[in-house]
Amino acid sequence: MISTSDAIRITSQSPEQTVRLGFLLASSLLPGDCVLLRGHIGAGKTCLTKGIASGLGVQDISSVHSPSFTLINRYEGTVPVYHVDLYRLEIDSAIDDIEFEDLWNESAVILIEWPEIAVGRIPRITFQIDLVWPMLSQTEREITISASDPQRLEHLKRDIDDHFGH
Amino acid sequence: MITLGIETSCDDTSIALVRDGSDVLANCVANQDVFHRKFGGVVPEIAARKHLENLLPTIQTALDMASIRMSDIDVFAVTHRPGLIGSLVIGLTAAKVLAAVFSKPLIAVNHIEAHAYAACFAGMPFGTENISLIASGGHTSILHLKDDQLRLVGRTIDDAAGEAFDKVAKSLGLGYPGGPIIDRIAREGNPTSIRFPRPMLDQPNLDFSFSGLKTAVLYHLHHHPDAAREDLSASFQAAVIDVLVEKTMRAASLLKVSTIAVVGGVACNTALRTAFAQKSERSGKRLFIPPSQFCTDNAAMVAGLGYHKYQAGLRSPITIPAQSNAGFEPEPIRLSPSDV
Ligand SMILES: Nc1ncnc2c1ncn2[C@@H]1O[C@H](COP(=O)(O)OP(=O)(O)O)[C@@H](O)[C@H]1O
Ligand SMILES: [Mg+2]
Repeated sequence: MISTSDAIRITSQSPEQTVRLGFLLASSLLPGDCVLLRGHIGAGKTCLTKGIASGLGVQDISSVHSPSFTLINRYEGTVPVYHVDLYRLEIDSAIDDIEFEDLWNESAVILIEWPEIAVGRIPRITFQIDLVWPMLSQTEREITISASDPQRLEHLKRDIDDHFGH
Repeated sequence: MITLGIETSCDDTSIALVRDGSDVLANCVANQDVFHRKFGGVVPEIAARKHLENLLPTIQTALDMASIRMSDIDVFAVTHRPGLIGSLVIGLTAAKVLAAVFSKPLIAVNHIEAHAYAACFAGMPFGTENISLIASGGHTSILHLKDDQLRLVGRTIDDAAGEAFDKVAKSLGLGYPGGPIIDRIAREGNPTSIRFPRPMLDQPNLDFSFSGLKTAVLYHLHHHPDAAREDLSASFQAAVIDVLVEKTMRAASLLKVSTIAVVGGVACNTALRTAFAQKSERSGKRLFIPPSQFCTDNAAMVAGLGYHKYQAGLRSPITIPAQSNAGFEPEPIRLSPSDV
């Protein structure tokens, strides 16, 4: 996983804000990029994914649903978007069953919920997003974005400062 | 005419023998739940390996139960989509080999369509125009069957209903699988003790959303850690059922369909069955909910549907691939404000 020392920290007050953040993040994504989404049940990983997918040109945001059972969903945006969810995996070799290795050969954007189990098998990580629900209200979420490339993080930070009212 | 059905799209290996589409001679499921319970869910690589191990013994068990020989089988039917690709491939390959070896037709069917077919095991005549609610761990959809065409008119926009049961059960520390556990515990609780939201009921469409309900339960639990699990379970379940029943009835009245089918693993839920029975009685709809063994993933529904497809002249090529997606394009229905 990536160090969070230079991370971008944002508080989202609503699902709509989280979707908007995802939309914004999508403009810094390129084909081949991979985003890890970490956080407990209900933290907002799938919600954020809806925003990212929408920003990547996926027209029907309702079609972006939880892959907890299906493990991988594919959506057609301006690039293919793979939405992976490893919630139900308990051993990393389980990934062999879902053609996980093949994803990396395509120029797609890969979004992974519950990535922890697969860390050793993820060849590249562009952004890592940690979502925390402090349980102070139904709708407040603390979102931390880190990146393996400091320049791309800096870029995203400027975008967010410009558009996200920080 | 005897059809052998094979179903391996998710975690259960199932083999069935069905005569003439409706007479179930054997419906065997090698269930991996006990195995998976330890892990709190499905472990696909193990699922695929288990399918491979279970397949031949389960076929043998089904043949023995029905006192039938392999050479008596007329048609081989199998699920080829949607599902976990590694799991689907095992059942599909077996069906292809059997069909080739015995020179009998191969019929590959869609798992969702097979679930909808299961209503025929509750006495619904095949081909009846109906509204089907399919609710399970991986799917929550409303389909309209008309003129042999299935149209997807509503679906979940986030979590499936069965997934919500599993995640809530896990959060309450109740174990896996969540559906049967919550069903049982909820009987001891008060369904009106906590007023959880009824997501999407005010939306002018036939879609579902369960992620907000999941978080409402988590939030309540966080602030009332000692809340009775019985009341939490009953109140959560009541919210899920309200939404499932209400949206399905809305679909039926909007599309002017008089027959309702409720299928998929969540259709095993006893409170859901009761709620549907009461609601459809009151609104004069005919209701078909199959016995539990035909609600959860099973091969009888595959064999049954396969038989009818065969009768209709369908033959699948030996090259037909397994596919992870369902292949249905949604055809959303907009409701007018007065329908909401
Ligand atoms: N600020 C917020 N950001 C994201 N989701 C939020 C927020 N406030 C409330 N929610 C709700 O919390 C739920 C998050 O669920 P989901 O995205 O499925 O979480 P996860 O995928 O992490 O389990 C959604 O119902 C969403 O509407
Ligand atoms: Mg999720």
